[in-house]
Amino acid sequence: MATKTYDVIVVGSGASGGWVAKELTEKGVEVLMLEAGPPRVPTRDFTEHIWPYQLKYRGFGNQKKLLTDQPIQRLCYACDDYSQQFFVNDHEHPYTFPADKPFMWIRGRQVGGKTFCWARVSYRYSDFEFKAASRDGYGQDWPISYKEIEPYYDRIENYIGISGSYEGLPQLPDSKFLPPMRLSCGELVAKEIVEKKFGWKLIVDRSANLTVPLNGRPACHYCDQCQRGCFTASYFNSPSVTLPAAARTGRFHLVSDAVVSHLIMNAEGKAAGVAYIDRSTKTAREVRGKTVVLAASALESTRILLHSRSPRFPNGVGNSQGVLGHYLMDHTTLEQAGGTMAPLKASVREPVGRPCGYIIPKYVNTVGPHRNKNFLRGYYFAGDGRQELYGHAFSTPGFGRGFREIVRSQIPYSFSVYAQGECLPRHDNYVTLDPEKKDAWGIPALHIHASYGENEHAMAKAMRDHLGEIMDAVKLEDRTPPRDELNVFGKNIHECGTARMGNDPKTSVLNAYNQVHDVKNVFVTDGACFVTQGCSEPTLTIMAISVRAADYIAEQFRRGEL
Amino acid sequence: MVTRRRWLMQLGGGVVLAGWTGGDLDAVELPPGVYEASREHLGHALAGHPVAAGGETELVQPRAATFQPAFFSRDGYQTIVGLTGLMLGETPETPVVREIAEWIDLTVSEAATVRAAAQALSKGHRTVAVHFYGADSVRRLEEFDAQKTVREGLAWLDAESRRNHGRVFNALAKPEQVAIVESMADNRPNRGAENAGTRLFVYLKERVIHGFYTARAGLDELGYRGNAFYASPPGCEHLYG
Repeated sequence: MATKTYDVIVVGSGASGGWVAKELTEKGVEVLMLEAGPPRVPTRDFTEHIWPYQLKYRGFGNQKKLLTDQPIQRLCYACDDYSQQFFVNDHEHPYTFPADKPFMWIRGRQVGGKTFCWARVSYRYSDFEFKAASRDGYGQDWPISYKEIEPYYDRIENYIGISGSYEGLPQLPDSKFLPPMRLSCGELVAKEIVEKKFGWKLIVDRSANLTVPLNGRPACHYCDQCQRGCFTASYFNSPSVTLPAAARTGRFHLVSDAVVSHLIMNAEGKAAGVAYIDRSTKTAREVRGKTVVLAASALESTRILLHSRSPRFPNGVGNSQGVLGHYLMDHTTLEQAGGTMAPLKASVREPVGRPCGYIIPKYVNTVGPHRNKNFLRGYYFAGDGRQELYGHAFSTPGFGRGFREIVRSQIPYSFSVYAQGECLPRHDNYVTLDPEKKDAWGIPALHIHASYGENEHAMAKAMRDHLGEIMDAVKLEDRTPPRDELNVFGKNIHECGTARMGNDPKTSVLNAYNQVHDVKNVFVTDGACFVTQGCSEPTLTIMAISVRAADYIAEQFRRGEL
Repeated sequence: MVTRRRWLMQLGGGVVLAGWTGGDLDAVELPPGVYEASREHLGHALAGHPVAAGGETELVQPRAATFQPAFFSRDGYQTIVGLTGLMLGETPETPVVREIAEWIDLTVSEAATVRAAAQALSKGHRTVAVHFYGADSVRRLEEFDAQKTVREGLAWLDAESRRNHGRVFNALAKPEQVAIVESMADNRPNRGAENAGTRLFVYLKERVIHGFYTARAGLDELGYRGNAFYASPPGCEHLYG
């Protein structure tokens, strides 16, 4: 029996793969999607409305199980007894790093990838990111501009829904917004102070949560448990938004539990298909396609390319110039700063459930007078203001009914603030295949070599100073200063780069349409393609680039060039 | 806010789902793992049996008529129940006191295996944890012996009870028990002096706080207004009303 050859094989079912599948199938292209993890079943795997007292471990996690099976994943705030099923087993999915360069790799393998647990923060990039090199001379520009990607942002936002407020900021372009959510009392107090003292806007976050019904999905009901799954499909995740659209075309085929190992290359140096291992049976399988799109997440896609070795591509596909694997980035953050707002201490509870916080967009080295020559690029601030639930009980002395009455009636108001900054793309932040370590399916693990450099540490000093000034201005009491150290690399789960785009095949892996310079029928559409990262969350831009690449692929098919 | 019951009754045309016609009305066969909002899902979320068989979520099991502690002796568990009650100002028979005491028994019984799991972390995993939490937090996870703390604390409690009253703690009258707990509490007069009793108080209070304020009774007492169903995003009520 002849093996079926699909038009396009898409590897990965998350934010990027979902959009590629939707766009291609709606344009008449037949797509086979391979997903390394299992399907999730809402009635079995979602836990959004479970109360802590319904759980054996009351929301604090089965610590023995987490330490034993998920010693890295447990570090993610969302990996607890509600949501640990959305994260991988670290022993099945190993990676290595130098002893002095720890890397925290958070991974979600299932139909939908990490979109079940993402924080939904959605910002457009601007030419402060796309053309950063032209502004300050460091690194390379993206091969695309904001104007070129703007229509794709529009298309995505009109379909998935982003709530937010129109602000007209050049450094944080407005989306096609649904109505914004609302600031809390403490955030309103801080907004007035910050805008007056610093000239910086403090706005409610921009989030992929529906504030009104959209495209057949009901609006958010504000239970604020998004990372546990969403029965009403009211925030963006690919299984409930893009993949159903692809499925409705009748041209979409999904194979879950397919752990991709490498690309199958033909004698002409083009991809002929994909080799994968059945996750459960560990049986090796192959599928054939005219084109392959890697959308498996930044580091997974690069791992597949690196592992696609052949006499013609001895260092992996897309690596003829030795660029593949390099220029890994993840945002820098200074966290845990905050305190209480004494005037807002109360005895009555406010409603809670807004699934986002506030943001003070990037101003430093961007717009306005706040310039700092000690480092390149900039950072934003974010956090939230809300009443303590019961954290104040631990610092309330005593016991008994009197103790409970104090906890109940004297509710402190907490205001948190953190800074998130840009990590420069550096050649010496890179990934390679580990020569010895393999995953549970026999595929070489990654060796990740990444650390923050002088620029990030100089930026951290400025971040810390500004955090102190903000806390002073807002007159926070019972303060917690920001952590002394920058976050561990990877902690923000914004890892990007390692197969960057560019116009020059000697210094980049992909062209402006995410097409591998060396192999025309292989594309990489996830965060691996990023040239710079700015200080903003990458997912919205990953989706926009994926749609742009899908448009290009569909057009190439129409012309018969793929 | 609308109640779950009201929300269920309003499916398809009510406040929360205004404008939503229901994705299941024109449902197509979707591949496994692909889903749309449907009345089946919504009903399931509201039905009180939130997790179907085969899931990984560990739910609390129905309480047995007679609880058999996994760690504590019969007397020791009775003391834990009594202390939990005193810390909350409730009688030992109060359901939430029993609920918390059972959870404390679970966490103490598993504490040694948790500590062993922490000590067994690979060098790399431990390094990442240190950079994430800080060295002190990781060391505490590896070294803190909850079972030793409660064992020594309970022994101290009985010794102190015998010394003052000639009987073990469980045999004391409530005012006598309260006086002993006050002597080990975090607002005792001589807070600089630590002993097995004060260490037990610190540990147990932390457990009781977590247990109570994750219980229905504790959340109700706090007036917690989350994990709810709102028709519009919560915000500052002073401004937005």
